[in-house]
Amino acid sequence: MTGPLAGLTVLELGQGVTAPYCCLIMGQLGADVIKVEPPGGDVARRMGPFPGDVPHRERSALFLSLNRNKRSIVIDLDTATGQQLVRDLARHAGVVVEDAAPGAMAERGLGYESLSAVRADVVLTSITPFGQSGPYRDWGATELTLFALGGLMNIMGEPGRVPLKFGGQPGLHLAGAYAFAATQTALYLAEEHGIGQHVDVAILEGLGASHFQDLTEYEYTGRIRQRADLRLPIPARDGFVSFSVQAHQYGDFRRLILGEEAAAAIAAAGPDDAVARDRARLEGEMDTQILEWTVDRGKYKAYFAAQEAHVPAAYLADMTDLMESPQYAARGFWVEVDHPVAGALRYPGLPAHLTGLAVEPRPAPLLGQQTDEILSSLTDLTPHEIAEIRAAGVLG
Amino acid sequence: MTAVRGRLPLEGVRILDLGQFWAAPNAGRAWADAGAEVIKVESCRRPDPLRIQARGIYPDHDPRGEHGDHWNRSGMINERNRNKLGLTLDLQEPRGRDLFLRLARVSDAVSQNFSTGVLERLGLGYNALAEANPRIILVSIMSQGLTGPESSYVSYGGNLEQLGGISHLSGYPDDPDSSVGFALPDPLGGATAALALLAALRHRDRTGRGMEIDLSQREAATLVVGDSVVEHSLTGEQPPRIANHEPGASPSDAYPCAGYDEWVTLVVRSDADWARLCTAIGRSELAADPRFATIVARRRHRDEVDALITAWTAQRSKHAAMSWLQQWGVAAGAVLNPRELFVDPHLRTRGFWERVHDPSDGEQEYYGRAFRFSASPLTTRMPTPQLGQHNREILSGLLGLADAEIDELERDEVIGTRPVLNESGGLMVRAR
Repeated sequence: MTGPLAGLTVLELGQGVTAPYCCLIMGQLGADVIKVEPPGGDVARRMGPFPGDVPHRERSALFLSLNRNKRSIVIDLDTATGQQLVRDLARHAGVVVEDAAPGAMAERGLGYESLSAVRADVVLTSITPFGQSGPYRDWGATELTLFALGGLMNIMGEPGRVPLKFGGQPGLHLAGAYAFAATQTALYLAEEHGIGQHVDVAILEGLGASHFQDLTEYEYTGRIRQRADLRLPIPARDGFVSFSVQAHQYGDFRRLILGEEAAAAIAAAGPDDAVARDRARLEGEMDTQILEWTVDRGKYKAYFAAQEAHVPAAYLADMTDLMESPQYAARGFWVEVDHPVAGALRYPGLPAHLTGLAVEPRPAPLLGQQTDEILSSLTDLTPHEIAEIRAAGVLG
Repeated sequence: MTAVRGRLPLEGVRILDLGQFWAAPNAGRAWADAGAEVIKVESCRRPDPLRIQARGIYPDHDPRGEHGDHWNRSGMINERNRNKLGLTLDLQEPRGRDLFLRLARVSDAVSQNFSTGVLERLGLGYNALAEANPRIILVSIMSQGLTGPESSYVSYGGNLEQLGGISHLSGYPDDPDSSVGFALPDPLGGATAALALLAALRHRDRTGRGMEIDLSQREAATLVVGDSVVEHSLTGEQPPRIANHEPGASPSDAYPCAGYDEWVTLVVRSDADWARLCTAIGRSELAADPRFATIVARRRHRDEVDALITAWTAQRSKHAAMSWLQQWGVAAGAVLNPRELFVDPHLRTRGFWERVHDPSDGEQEYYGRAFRFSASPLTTRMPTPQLGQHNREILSGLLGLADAEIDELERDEVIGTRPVLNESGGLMVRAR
């Protein structure tokens, strides 16, 4: 089995979500991802959630989900020997992805200048909250403060109540996806023409570039869209469903809920009246007919019946729904991977299938699992020398 | 090698972009920004629906403008199709289909997000394209993928947030019957499609073999809450709705500032953060208070913590509160609206906004991108094409058609520069 990135070595100097997510996909597409961890391991190993709330560095859901198909080497980057080891490894890496504070890698002799000196065509991708320049560059940030500054919280939540961001950390994952797209773009130039470069990814700008209409609307009309998009899914017996019916679909929607005869009677009252009524139903007080229809059926039946009648509908999927989704099962989205400590678990696979290309799923590495294997295959160090460096506390 | 320094990364790559709405055109823009020749292919009977919206966005609310070409004036189209060329082809017409296949012969990739089966019904499915050009890569950016029992279901970004598991985690914790979102699976799907095609292109260049890429935006949505899925798989529990309360932090929320609907977010990730916050708000004595000494304690006394912070934030503007907190090393961010975003000093300094002269809309500013390159800076080189703007250039330049042949195609409405609309000004054909 092989992937489109076969033959590419990626050095990941990252922790948490953004750089690991970027490299997670690279690994699943066939790149050899070498994850360089500090002696204590990626912070995600300590963040959990853990089974039974008992912290264990090999049982963090966050870490396990973001680090499949990678190899782990532990190197202390705050030592001169460790820094030299990374530069030695970088000779083999077409791509280096890092997420340290701006300037922090350069201080360790691992900035673009140093890495391009050992390998001219290297693509170094740096992912930070605000990017490598600008007045907020050194500010502290989390997904919450970036959703605020990126303008997305302004449109999320109910008017008069506290604005919200999404649950989980999808904004950081999104930045990881942008980082991969940027890296792969730069890699095209590097592999075709030998030109390396420094790619500066700003999580804030990823969020700023993900607005649907409120920025363009302000630019074109001066209108500032307010928070008004609290979605009110419709209760079903066992959860919630929602419809997002466009004007041309109202006829199908009416037939679905009211039946052929009643729908025809409403349509006869004049198309504009009927559409206004349908819109009011969905946007404001939903009437008892929709409610009865969804409650009677439950979320799955309501969703399938509506979609079979060409009415865009969804159910609010919880984690069990995802696991049991017939669509995901049919597409083989889930991959079952056995991990030596965490056991056999289900993970989401790749959201894009490339015909004929697939990579065997491997579990997230144990901390430092491949330290020796990587050093002995990619550097000139003898086992004795490796042992010495380890004794000095540089390796793990 | 220095001779090609400054060239754009994807120069020499040609992509036929049938994408419409948001996700697929966004992917197209990522390739176009990076220097690929991206041809936005529409048909006059079925242009990108964002050109023709009942409640669209037009300069100063005026769809008609000077030339009455409202289809070229839609903000939603002009924001996300920059750097592309514009071609119209009636793909339901045999000559339109034939011209598309001839273009596929000289292109590297085709990108599309029609409903499942539409491309096949047009006779332009992967097999037809591969017959014309075995090196072609077809990327299909689908709601739920090309296969499976739900693959034909129609969805918009908001539906996919719900079906993908993001909505379950998002909303007010005490309001399970509500949820928030803005169709994240669309920009996410666009970014994922962008990287998938580039990876495929690398493989194609090494092996000579084209391929089909089958992308599911719903799956992309699930992948960004993958830690919650693995958590469920690991613990058997449903992750709770935590809204603005980030894991491992407390306090972590948005707090009201002076003025109407003004907010600042702040996140305290450690006890040292907490001590700095206390000093920043002039209450350094609270740092030693056992009610607030640890994250667990602060969570237990959240109402008191929130009241203390609100008493301070409510006296200040959100910008003043943010700058002051940042000076003290506390992660803080004001909730910005579009007006404030456009003048934000950080984004201005970084050159995030790009000024573009749209032929029908005049000077406009649009957002740039999430990344920048040191050796090959990306810019908006061309505004979004007007409908069919480059018909002649493409058909004569790439396919060698004579002027008379192009005239005939125009006369027979295989190509054109005006949409063919129904009586109420809507689209004639709905493919999705």
